[in-house]
Amino acid sequence: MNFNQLYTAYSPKIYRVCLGYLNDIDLAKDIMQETFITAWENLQMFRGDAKIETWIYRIATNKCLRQLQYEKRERTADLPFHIPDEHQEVYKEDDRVLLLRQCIAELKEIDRLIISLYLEELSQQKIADIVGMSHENVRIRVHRIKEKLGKKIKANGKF
Amino acid sequence: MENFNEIKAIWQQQQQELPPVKEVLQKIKKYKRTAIVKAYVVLLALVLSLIIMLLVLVNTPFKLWTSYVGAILVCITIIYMFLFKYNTLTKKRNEGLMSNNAYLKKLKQDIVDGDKNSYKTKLFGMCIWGVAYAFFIYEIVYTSTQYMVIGYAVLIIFWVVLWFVYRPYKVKKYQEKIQRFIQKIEAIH
Repeated sequence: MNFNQLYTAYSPKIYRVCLGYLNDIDLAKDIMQETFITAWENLQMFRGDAKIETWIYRIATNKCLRQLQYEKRERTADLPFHIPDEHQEVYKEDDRVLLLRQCIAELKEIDRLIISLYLEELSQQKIADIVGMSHENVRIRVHRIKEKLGKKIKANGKF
Repeated sequence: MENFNEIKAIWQQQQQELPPVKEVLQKIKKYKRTAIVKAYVVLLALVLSLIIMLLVLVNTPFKLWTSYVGAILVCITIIYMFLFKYNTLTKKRNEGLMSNNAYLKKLKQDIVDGDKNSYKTKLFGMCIWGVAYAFFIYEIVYTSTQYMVIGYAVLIIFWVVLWFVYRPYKVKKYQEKIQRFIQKIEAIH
C-alpha cells in the first residue's frame, strides 16, 4: 500500500478516532495530519498490509495520548451541551453526534480510545493489540463502556 | 444494547472536510524542511563556534599556559554540547511500534530521563564554561589586582547563583512537571 492509498483509506477513520478522544475538531485534524506525517516517514518499514491498520491506529492513538503532556489544552467535555460550536454551523452536525462525542469525552482516556476504535468496527483483538491489553480485558471494557454510554445517552433522551 | 448499532451509525456519519492527499504531502515537505533547519542550525552554530575557538587557539600567541587550558576547555564544552544535541536529534520516534500502554510507560520514562539529562547537561556545560572562563581571563587580569578581583568576583557570583538559585529552581520545576504528568498517566488506567 502506498501513501496515497493509506491516506485515502484511513484518513476519515483516523480523524474520527482522534475526534472521539479529543472532542475538538481542529485538534483532531492536526493530530490526524501529524499521524500521516509519521506514517509517511516510516512507511518503508512495512512489507505486508496485514499489520498496517494496527500500526496506523497505534500512531494516531499514541499521538492523542501525547496531548496529556500539554496542560494548556483543556478538554471540552465539561462545557454545557447546548453551547453552539462554530463548526456545528459550518458542518450542520446532528445534535446526536455532538451528544455522542460529549458522552465519549467524559470517559477515561483509554476508554475513549477503546470505544472510538470499536465504533470504527475494529475487532476486539485488534483493539487489544493497539491499546496493549489482553483480548479478555478489552471485551470486558467494551461491555462496560457500552453500558455507561447507553445510560448517559438515555439520560439526555435524544436518541 | 439494542440501540448501539444506531450509535455506530451516528458515529460513522460524522462529517469531515479533510485535506486532500496533495495538501498533506505538501505539508510533509514543509515539515521536513523546517525540521531540518531547526535541527541543524544549532549544530551549525556549535561547529562555527568550535572553528572560531580553534582559530583563536592556533593564531593567538598566549603568554601563559592558563589561556591555552581555558581555550581547550571551551572547545571540549562545545564538542560535548554538539554530541548531546546530535544524539537528541537522531533519536527517531516510531509510535506505530508501541501499544498505547507501552507508549505511556515510555513517555513517563522519557520525561523523567529527558528533563533530568537536559538539565544536568546544561548545568555541566555551565560549570565547564565557568572553569574555562577562570583560566582564560587570568592572562588578562593577572597584572592588575583590581581587574583580577572584579573578574573573579563575577565568576564566583555566577557560580553561587548557578548552584544555590538556578539549580534548586530547575530541580523543583522539573520534579513538579514530571509529578503532574505521571499523575495524569496513572489516572487513566
